Amino acid sequence: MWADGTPATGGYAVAAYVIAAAILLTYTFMLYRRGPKAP
Amino acid sequence: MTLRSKGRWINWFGLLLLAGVYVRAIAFTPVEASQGGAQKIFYLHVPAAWSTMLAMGLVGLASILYLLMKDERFDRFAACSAEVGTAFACVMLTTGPLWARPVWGTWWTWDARLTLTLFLFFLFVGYQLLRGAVAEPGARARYSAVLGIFGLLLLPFIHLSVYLFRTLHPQPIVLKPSAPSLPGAMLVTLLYGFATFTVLYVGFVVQRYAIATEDAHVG
Repeated sequence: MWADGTPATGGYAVAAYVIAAAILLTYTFMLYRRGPKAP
Repeated sequence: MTLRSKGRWINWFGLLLLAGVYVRAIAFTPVEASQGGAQKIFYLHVPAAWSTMLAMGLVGLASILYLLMKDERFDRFAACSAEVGTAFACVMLTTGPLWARPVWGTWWTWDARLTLTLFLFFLFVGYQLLRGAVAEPGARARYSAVLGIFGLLLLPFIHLSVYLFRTLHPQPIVLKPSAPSLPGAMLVTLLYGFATFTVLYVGFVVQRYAIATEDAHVG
């Protein structure tokens, strides 16, 4: 709890932001590296 | 410029916009007094849910068009949209529990909205497993189109589940008949998030469609 009474829950937001970025960046690089399948 | 290059540019532009969402949400959007910093997950979770629904809705529509017109481009688009939708569903299903834990006191609860959303994720995964399991292209397209239409049918139930059932999940604050019930700064950040995730969806799908088209020409 912060001095103004706001709950100190920012850590959950940091975790969510990191995980969301990780998922979207991972998918971006998966698409970036994927070539056409072998014939 | 090839279709794949266009998709990459849209993708990078979307990631740039995403960085802007992070900056705006963290530094330029007020902290909600009763939930604290965890409420800022809202600006990712809700746009990710929007993109998931958009992806699955378009899978369903493309599936209907495929069954009507037998044009393989619709089947190809549906497959690409389902894969992209799975990525967004992963964002939705990881950010949701991280928001729920400090606000509801639990990571997960088996209420209608959450359970139906998880079911949609499994449907996305099942759709792709089905496509991988059927070798004959015509049969694969027909079977997966039927599954894609079931996904489309699920969407109204997911949206209305918070009205139809008792649930911990809040009711819509933007996509509802009356005006959005959100302070201006928060609403702008949320709408920016919606736009960003829509651009990311387009970038991902364009790239994925270009790859699928290359695959079709090779195979």
